[in-house]
Amino acid sequence: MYSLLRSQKKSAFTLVELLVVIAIIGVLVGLLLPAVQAAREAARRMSCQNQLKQLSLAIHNFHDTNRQFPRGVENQVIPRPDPSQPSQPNFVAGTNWIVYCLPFFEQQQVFELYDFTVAFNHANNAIIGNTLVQSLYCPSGPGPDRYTDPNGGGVNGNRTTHYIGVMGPADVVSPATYIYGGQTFSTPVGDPAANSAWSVAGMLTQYRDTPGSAGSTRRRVRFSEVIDGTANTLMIGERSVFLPGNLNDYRSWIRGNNGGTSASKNVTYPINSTNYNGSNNFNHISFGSQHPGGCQFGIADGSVRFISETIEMELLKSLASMWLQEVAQLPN
Amino acid sequence: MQITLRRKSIRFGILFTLIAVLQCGCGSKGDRVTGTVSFKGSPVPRGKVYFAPDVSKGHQGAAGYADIIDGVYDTALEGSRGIVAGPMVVTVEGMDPNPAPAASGEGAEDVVSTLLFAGYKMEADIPPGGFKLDIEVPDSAAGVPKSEPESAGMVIP
Repeated sequence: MYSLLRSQKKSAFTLVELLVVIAIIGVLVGLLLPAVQAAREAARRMSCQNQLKQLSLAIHNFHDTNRQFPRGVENQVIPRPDPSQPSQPNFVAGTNWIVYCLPFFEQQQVFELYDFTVAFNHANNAIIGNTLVQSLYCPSGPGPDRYTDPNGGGVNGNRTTHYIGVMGPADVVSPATYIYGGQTFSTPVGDPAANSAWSVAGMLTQYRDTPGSAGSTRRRVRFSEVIDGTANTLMIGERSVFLPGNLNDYRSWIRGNNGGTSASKNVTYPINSTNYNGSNNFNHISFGSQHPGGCQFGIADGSVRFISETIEMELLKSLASMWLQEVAQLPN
Repeated sequence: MQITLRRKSIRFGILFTLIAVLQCGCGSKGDRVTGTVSFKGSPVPRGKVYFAPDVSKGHQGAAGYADIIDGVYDTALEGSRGIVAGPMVVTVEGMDPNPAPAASGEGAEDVVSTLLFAGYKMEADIPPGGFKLDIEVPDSAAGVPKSEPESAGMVIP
């Protein structure tokens, strides 16, 4: 009797029960999804850290081999080999530290393709600029083919780099001054209000062979010049942001400082604040990343640190200089 | 009675879900500053305003910044950051995207906008809780600030 009655009654959920279940599932998924995304971002950040570390070690190994740091970003340099030497040097637009470090992060084949007798944007070097060197791209940032060099000549369509050298503290006026710890520091900046602005005080700043520049002509930096201490000096950082407007400011990864560079930037503005204005701040573009809250830097001692975008500018500038002797330490 | 109770439960369920959804994605980014920027009597088409805490007056903290779009800036917009209220050094940069200047020399391809002024600095004391600061850039700020040559003051330890 009982079983008969039961079988006759249709068993089903009421609408309310269903809604409650859906609401609970919704809340649970809402909690879980961001957590999964955060785990993915944490993994990408670790991968990015690893790549910065490899590049830092490559720079150290370059120093061990050559007794000096690689030239940061070259302006006008003597071609090698130069048929006209030494009577009438014939200068060409140079390249940057990443190319010099290639053999030290297992890219010897790419390095051997680079033609040092011509400019970076010569057709002979187009094959280098087009080469995909996987370890130059932050996995959180735009893919290697998202933003390619829009300029003409051999660099057209070249890929860019997300890892860039630190040129040092700068401003759109020279000398750049800032107050840290109650003391005022001042350092010269070359072409401060132009795209090719470069600070004198950073580790991977301009190098040139042409005479007439106190800070960059035949510049040579060794560990002994990093007198702020390698643990307190920024060496490389990342810029791997998606651009908000239509103005593409990523350039070929083999470009030196020839009217602006893709491979080093000044520390002028806060992290994640500044993109290219289309006219004169190319080298003042800020460091930044898609990692939430800041970006990562390779420190001169070989460690890699995440620096928050809310760091005080005076401290960031102090860390970017290698020889102004600020009492500045990386925040924990 | 049964029906009203059900309706209440449905309403409650919907409200609950809405709150759960809306809960995510709200955060504060410092004190807000907004206002207009004008130069030579007309609004500045594009540019950037930076707010740096005035260290010489004992103020410290993260810098704020905002984009100028058609003469107006607002640190509460996307791509901006609010400030830490107090005495500030305000740096303004103004651009005119049209027409593109005729540039020459290396890197000329990269120049697509005209610079109105760069590195114009002023001081302002900004109270917390939202503030309207209208900036009138003087004609004398046109171009770029005067710099010493790079070799001046060069001290290599």
